[in-house]
Amino acid sequence: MLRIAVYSCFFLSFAMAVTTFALKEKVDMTKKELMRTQRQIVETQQTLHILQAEWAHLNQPAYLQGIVKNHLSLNRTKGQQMQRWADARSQKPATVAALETATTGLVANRN
Amino acid sequence: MPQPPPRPPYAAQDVLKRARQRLAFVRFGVAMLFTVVLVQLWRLPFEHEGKASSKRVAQRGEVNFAPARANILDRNGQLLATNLVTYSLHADPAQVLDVDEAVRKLTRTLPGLNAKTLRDRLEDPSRRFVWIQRNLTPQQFDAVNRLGLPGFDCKREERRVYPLGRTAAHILGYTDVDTRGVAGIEKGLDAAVRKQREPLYLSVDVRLQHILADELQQRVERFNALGGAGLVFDIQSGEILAMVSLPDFDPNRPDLASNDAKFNRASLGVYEMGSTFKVMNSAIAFDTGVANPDTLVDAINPIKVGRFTIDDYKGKNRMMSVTEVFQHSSNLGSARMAMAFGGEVQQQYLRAFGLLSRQPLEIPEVGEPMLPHPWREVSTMTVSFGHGISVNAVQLTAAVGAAAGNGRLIPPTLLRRERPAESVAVVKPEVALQMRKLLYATVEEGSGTHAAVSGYFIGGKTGSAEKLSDGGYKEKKLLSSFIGVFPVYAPRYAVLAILDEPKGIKETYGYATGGWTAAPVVGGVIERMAPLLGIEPKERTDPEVIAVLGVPKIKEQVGVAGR
Repeated sequence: MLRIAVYSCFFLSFAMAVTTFALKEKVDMTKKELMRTQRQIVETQQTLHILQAEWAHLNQPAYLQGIVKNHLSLNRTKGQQMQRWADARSQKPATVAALETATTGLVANRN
Repeated sequence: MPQPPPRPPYAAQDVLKRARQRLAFVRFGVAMLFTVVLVQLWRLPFEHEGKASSKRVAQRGEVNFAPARANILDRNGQLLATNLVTYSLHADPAQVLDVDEAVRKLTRTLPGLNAKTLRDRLEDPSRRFVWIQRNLTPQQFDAVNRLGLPGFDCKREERRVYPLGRTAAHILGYTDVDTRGVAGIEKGLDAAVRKQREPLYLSVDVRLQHILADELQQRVERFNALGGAGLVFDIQSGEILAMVSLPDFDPNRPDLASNDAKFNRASLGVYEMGSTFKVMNSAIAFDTGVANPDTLVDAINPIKVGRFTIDDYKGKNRMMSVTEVFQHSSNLGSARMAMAFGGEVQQQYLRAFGLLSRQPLEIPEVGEPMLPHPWREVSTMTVSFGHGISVNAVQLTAAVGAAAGNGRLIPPTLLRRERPAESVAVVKPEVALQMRKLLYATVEEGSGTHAAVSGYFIGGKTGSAEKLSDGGYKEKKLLSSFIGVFPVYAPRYAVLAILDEPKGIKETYGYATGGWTAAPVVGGVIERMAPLLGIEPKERTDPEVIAVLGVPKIKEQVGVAGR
């Protein structure tokens, strides 16, 4: 009985030593992976940060205004160009109105 | 037949039994110990990868890029200021083997370096650390690394960057090379920007900021003015949506900017604002009951006080109603109204309007008003039309906003307000309503017609103050201004434009007054910002407009309000 207990202890000790070693290795590897991932996250965040700054720089209103002026034939929006949605619907171009009527008819037929 | 072994005596049996019991106890103890160790070994990897651990890591900030200063954004989230990682080159002179080679190679790679200064630094035996160049660009960093010079190293640092360049430069301010706030919000809120991780939202709207700067710049160039200042102010919330001072500067390179460019004319500069002060003067007269819009005032005879004579610029030389006094900007009429309510009442009201003391703002560049000492009778008269008292543009705009809004002064701010600020009642709401009519009349038929915009109802007041120079007022050196309120039937925004010493041109018949030079700036700003903010144009016959401005006159019915 005593012998069995002693062997068991030896076996357990050995098993634990192996497990501890394996765990230590695993923890080390996990830690390295974690650190690598963290570093990647920070690098990505830094890159995003730079991209945000670059995007803001490219969106400078004065810069965009210059581009629009030189390359597009756009004019400033006038107040008179604004309309309420209800008014816009009642004043829609004839083609849009005809299309809507046709669509409504199709939907009605399908039902 | 062998004999069985003799049975041990009773005492020996007892000892053996107890030994077995102890052995069993020890075995149990060892087994428990092993179990505990095994359980711990089993738990360890799981706990390390578990949620609790991740949370702790996040709390330590290990997985977050945390710049030394928080980002600054406009009210809509547009990035205005941020920190970027850079590298700075430094050296240990004791470890530099060949100074000649180092100086030659470095000055070739970094052209901004001065060879003599660099040599002096590297040959200084008393120092073990010298900066060579701060904030290298990525290309420079790579090039310096390729040189492989011994004794040199690069330190990771952060640099404050303003991606929008000059836009809102005077509001943002700038930092020094160690990213410490030196001016503007960067200095005023330095501690908060350093401490907080979350971005700081300003009240400024970059789109309006650009529109204001663009319109103002055009007029500064057109009228060859020394500079200009402007503001877009939310009357209801007290938020400053745009604040411009021209000339301006690039906060990324403040070292290249002149002191004049860095000077904030909108908040630090205090000026005699001229006739825009008549807004407050009329509001006081109405609130105290000494006059109403139809009260007739003598605008014929000049007022003589000691060696001073108060007269009108292009006077009408007749009795005028208070509305006409305001419309045609009569100094005589305003002075007489001020004399009616007196200097003491005038000071009480102006104090309530926030014009007699320094009004705090989130930036340190805030000018303190210059007041008459002592406040004599003649001061009361001159202050009524904006002379003899100097205030900054932010104060003036907030005061006009109060007079034309709902009669309550809201402290201005450069930060986005999440909840309404506490306001102070200055004049009665009915007075504010009367003021709106006066302001509208000025743009419709008075000195501010150049501010009118088709489809939008603007109220406003011109100001043309002669600048004090060499002990006297110079007729040719004007501070021309215009303050507009819109939509005047339900005021939401106040827009101010100031031009410093504009010169008259052929198209303005040589005039450089506020009505000719600054009013078009305000009109231009409103014309561009109104569609952007979704403010719909209205007809003069619209019930909401009639409710405030009254039934339109025949000529107003012909078309919508406009130039």
